[in-house]
Amino acid sequence: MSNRWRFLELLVPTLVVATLWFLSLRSTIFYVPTGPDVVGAFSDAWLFDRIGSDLVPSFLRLVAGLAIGVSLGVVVGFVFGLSPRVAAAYHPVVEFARSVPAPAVLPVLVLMFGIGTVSQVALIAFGTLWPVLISTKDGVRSVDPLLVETSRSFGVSRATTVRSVIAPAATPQIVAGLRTALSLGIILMVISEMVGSSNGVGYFVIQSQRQFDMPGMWAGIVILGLIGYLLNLAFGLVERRVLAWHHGARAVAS
Amino acid sequence: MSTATVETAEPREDRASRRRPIPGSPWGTRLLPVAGVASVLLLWELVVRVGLVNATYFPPVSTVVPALVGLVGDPALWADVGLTLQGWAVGLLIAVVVGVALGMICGLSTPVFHALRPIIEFLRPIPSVALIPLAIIAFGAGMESKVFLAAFASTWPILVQAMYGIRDLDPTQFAVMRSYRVSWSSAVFRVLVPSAVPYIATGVRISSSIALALVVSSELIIGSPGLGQAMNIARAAGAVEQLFALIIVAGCLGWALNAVMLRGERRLLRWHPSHREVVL
Repeated sequence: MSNRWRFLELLVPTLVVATLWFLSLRSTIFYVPTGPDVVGAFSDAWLFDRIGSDLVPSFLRLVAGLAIGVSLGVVVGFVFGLSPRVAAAYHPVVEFARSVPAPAVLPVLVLMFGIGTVSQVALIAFGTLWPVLISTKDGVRSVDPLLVETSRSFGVSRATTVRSVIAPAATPQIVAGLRTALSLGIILMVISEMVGSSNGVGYFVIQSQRQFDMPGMWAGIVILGLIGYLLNLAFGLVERRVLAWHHGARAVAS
Repeated sequence: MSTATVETAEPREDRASRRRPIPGSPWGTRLLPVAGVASVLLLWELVVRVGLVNATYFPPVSTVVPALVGLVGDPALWADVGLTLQGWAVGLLIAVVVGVALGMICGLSTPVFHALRPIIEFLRPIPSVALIPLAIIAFGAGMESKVFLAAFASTWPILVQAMYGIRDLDPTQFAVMRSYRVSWSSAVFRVLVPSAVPYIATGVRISSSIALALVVSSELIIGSPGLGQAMNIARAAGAVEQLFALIIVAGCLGWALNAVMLRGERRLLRWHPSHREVVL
């Protein structure tokens, strides 16, 4: 990227933020507070009063839900990928389950587990399970048959083939599924906190809105945006590291 | 650039898995799915009957099915489905218009691409549901909120896909258009749009399920009329069979929309190499 473009990429966002800032100073719309008010509310709430009481619980629930959803998805996805019969048998069930808009199961989870951490984690796990399952299955299936047959003719055991041939070859697809699962997980985290919770960032945002605390609501929206942005960024970095061999191989091939 | 992913692989995978025969079971393709569904339903019934889950919160299939039948015969359900679909359609339409226009401009002009990229990259990962409180204040509890949220969330995949569709164009095509002095209008409508359509179609299909999820979420949280609100009412009334039946309806709706999108995509792109049947 030339310096000219880098300059443009810094200039335009700065201009946009500055324009919004000065426009907001003269805002007469009730739900558009002034820039300084939002910054004030942001530093009051998120530097660092509510980090421990809201941000950390949100984050832990996200991690727990993702851990359950992803590990289930990968395991079941491998089973489906390795056995076309099982995959064919459960194809309609999976297709249906992944078509259910995940927030729709929240009322059931709230009935079963009550309002609280368990139903929130369960919702995140349910929602992230399907994209991971499907991309794992597709990844395992699209492994070059030549690789599998070669390892078979060399007498490599089935377990070793799965571990050292199929799993690495399927990793790029699995990672693509994880990326979807991550952004879905964040969305479900927010939804579950808005519907039933007594803490969390989503709870804070909806509560601010109910109390007509507009700077607080905007501060909450900003921090949710930052969470989404930073987690995506972190995922990209980890992905580049984990898949360095894959990108390297592709660069050589092209 | 590397932070964005282009999601075009999906339809090919779907097709591959559908075409692959199942070894050693000529009847398998027909009967296996039936057996699979039956086993899951049986398991559901058993888990409740044995008492692993509380039947007051998790009703057995045998009571959900009558509730579902009753629901399907009720015009109120179809009114709710209509409201949900309306939010989905309007939101998705706005997303298509905005996403395709912005995406194509970003794809065509390098300065615009660099000017808008940081803004897009920052707005895109914002969990759209974070805007629910804003939507409530700004638009109230009606259709506008649903449409706003669905449109916001589903613009990004379409925008990104449209942008890549244009940027992946063979540079020779631009050179040829220039040397033949092709007019702007025919360049846009005869070369650019057709080349980007496969990408845009994928974006629209991804966005369609996002839009549906957002519409149902806003109905659940804001309480705007539709399937989500009906679920809330069923939950508040303790009508769990009704609630499960509604979730099944929502799942069927999601499945049907996806099937329609896939089918439309295939029909629209019959001419495109990725969708042409291979003739040997």
